[in-house]
Amino acid sequence: MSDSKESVHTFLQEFQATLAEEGSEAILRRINAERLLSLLAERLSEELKVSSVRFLPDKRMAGGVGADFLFQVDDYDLRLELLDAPDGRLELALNDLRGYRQILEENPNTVALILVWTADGLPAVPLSIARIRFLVDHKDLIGVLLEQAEPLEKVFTSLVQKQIKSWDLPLRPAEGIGQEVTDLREAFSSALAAEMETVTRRGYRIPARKAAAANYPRKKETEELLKTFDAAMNGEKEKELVRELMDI
Amino acid sequence: MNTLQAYLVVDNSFLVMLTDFFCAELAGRMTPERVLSELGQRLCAQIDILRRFAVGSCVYCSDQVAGEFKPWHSERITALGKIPFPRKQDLAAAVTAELVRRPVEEVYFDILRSQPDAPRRLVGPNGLSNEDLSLIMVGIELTANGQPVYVLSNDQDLLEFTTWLRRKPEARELWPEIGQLNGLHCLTYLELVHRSCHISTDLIRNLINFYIRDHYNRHELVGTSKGESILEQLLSTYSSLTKSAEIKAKQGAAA
Repeated sequence: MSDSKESVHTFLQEFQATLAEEGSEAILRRINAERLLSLLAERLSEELKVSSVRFLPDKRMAGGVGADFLFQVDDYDLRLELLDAPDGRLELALNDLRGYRQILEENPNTVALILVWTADGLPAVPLSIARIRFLVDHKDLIGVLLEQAEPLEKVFTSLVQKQIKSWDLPLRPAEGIGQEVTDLREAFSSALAAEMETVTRRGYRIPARKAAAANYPRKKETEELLKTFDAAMNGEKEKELVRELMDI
Repeated sequence: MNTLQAYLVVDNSFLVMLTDFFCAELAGRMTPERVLSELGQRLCAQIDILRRFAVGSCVYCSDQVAGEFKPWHSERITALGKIPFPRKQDLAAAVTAELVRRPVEEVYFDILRSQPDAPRRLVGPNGLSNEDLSLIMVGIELTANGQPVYVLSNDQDLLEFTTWLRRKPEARELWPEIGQLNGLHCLTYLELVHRSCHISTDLIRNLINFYIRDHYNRHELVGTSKGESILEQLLSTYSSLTKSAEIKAKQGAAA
């Protein structure tokens, strides 16, 4: 006489399913599909590298603009609309696309609205606003979209993988980029020193020039020129730079 | 096909739910022994309603599950007052006598648990019991007749495993007709019976009301967010019941 595993939620979900579909076959297809969705959500939350996957009924929470179900994955959502597939045949009514577009427009956190059919393997196709707009303009391609349906598990995993950021890159310094940084000040300073060396070592015949070269204030001039260089690198105006050079 | 026409396999949880419901309705209105007698009649009457929809007019159960129905463990029956133990045993015998009991060999429990990729939560140490699996096996055996089979239970795990199993290719190799097997919550099935005008709207409303409130109280959910959520669901169920009653009225008119 134990009822520890009884679930009120199970009944309420089935009850809603009996009202959502007409005919016994459709009701059973929907009930079974909803249970499989629940099991799938449970498995994917264990397998995927995400913090959490929550599977919730959506319409009741979102009011008139919700889908059948809401998958909350970390900080974004995927919404699911369950469509009946008698005899495993997938169908999509053009008139329903407007409603699907509204769901996406009014739920900006929703990455995609996934249409899932109650056929074996739960075939599914993801919809975005752009895709819906394209389908409305190219009605004849709806059939092509349906041919591309894949098992929900694959569609879901693919959408989730696209959202996962690759933070697992190794934490070591990047190679190549940034290693050949040119230090302009160092280059200028070296070139200046080399030129001054040439000037001071040059042999002069005239004694006054020879004396001037020997007494050249190399250190002071270098400091002044580097100061002007720094000012130039800091974006000082040309006129000011010229004036500074003239003052040296 | 009629929605309800199928082989029916009932779980102990179905009998327990009805026992507690009728007991709550009858308590205080008559002597404890009289309650027990009336309770037995009402339980048998409900099984009789199911029989009207059951293929071959039989409602099935496994030997293992029939042995689980022990009214003397019911808190509500205990609360009635002093009732001789043999009377409670008589009630169990009378109710289970309404069911067709099928033996299930233990070897099948391992076969079911070892199905490839079976959800660990369902087949692991805290998962489905042998009694639960015995019901599924009774259902599987009945699918060989090529007609739908409903396992009626309030056990979420049991229903989920049934749904998971029926679409597995490996299971289809072993039991080609397993696609005919479906699990339904007992109340869902009774609600569908209600729509076919065989159960009154008042009875199904009271039963659903009782089931949800009982769950709410037993799990000490009063004042918790989960409890509030269940109460919200209860309120939404009332509007759903109104829709269901409308469907029933249409079906009645059509008939």
